[in-house]
Amino acid sequence: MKMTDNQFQRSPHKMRFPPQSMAALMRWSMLEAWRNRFALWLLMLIGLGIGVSLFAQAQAITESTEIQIAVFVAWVRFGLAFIWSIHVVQSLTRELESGFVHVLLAHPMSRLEYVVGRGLGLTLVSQIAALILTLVLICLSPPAGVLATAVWGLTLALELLIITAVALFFSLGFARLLPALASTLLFYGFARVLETLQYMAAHPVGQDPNSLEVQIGQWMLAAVGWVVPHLGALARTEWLLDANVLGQIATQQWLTWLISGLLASIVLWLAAAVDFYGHEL
Amino acid sequence: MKWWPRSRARVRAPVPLGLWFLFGVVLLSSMAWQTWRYQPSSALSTLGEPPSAQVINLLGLGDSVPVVKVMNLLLQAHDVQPGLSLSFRSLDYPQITRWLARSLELDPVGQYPLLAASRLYTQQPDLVRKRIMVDFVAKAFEDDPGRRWQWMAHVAGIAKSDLKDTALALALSERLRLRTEHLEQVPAWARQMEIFLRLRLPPDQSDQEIGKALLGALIQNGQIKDPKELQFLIYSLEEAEKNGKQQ
Repeated sequence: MKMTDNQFQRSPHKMRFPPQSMAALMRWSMLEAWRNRFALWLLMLIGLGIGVSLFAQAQAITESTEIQIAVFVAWVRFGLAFIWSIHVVQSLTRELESGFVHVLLAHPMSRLEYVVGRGLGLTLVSQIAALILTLVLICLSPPAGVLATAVWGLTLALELLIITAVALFFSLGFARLLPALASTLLFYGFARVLETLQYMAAHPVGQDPNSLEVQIGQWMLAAVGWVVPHLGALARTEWLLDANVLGQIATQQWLTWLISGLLASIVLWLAAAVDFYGHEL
Repeated sequence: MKWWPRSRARVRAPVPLGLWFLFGVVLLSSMAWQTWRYQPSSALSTLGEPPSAQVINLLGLGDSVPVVKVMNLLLQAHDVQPGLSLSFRSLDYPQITRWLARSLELDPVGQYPLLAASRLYTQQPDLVRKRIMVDFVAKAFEDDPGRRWQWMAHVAGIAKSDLKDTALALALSERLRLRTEHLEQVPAWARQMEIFLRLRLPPDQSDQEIGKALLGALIQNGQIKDPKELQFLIYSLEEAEKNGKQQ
């Protein structure tokens, strides 16, 4: 189709830059992860995880494989969430503090494109990390088998997707390393234990469950649950130890987790974009 | 490492030799101090009550199974230390059963607490304590006979050989038969244990013979898959044989 001059004049940037700018930001995010030696950190995490889990296995008098897998999985899942949060927050806040974001936005690129491009790039790296971890786990032969491990890996990828969105939101919001990192890690910890906290609020020990304080606690946690995703339900260790456990989870439940995770991520991305538009750069 | 990206070449200023020397001396002194100071100790404080299910969940950031697995190892480490029999005598068995029950509550698929209860904590001469563990395993068996039958079979053997309580042994083996009659994964010998205990065992049959018979049946049926468990069971049996010969 022949493009007329009129069309170019009406929307020159929309024709040329949105896809390219976001693709460039994605490439930049991957290159940055490589240059920041994220792969090296991931390898160290896996290596240490194998060492720690082998030590635990050596202490066992039965279920040695189960213990090795459980310790390895707990180590790498929390470790990955930790180093990934640091990587995302450090990358974004450095970009804001150093003024590099000004250089980027000086190009014909909207702030939304910046948020989406950066978010997509970082998410892509996190998904590669989840894939590597899942492949390593498959090599360790969890008792539940390869399929269960793949499902576990998919939910880990979903968890990392949410962590990336959370880190993006707090990094662009606070624009400072310490508050952004602290908030991201607190959010992650809170999201992992939210279900336990809700259970504790619903079953208070030594208190009248109908008292006002208890009721307020329950309402507050219920309200938080509308916004904060239940990460504790994802990437659970018992899925890897017994194939029957995974089979007992209904398809509807999987869909609920998937939709909740995706929705939470999109909400956080949009919140980050809305907040970023309000910033004076 | 040419393949690894380097943002910039590192240029190091020369470090004064005196500083290197001082660093080396302090490092070696620190290592010597730690080596001299470190004394492995088996004297542990009292175990205390197990943490609640909620606390364990919070500790595991919502995933309790890894915490439970580590908890099992810590509980075992609390008991298995130099001076084994003394250590077992000093343990509070009802308290240990509460730890084991908490572990089973949060990880019902796990077999570790049942192995510990039936094979580890029964390795001491006190019959009251043995009975506590036998009762614990018998109770836990009722919740999941399909997975826990082998521990029930073992404690039925203990009731017969160690506790010399034939009535209890028969009652346990009867429960084993009744609850596993329709379970394909349970081998015939386990379901027929009641008859085995009624007819084939003379009253003075030694513990080692019963232990050997049960272990042999488990190995023959391929029920023990974990090499560490097999190693532990064979070692326990050999130790029991040695002790039997010495007596």
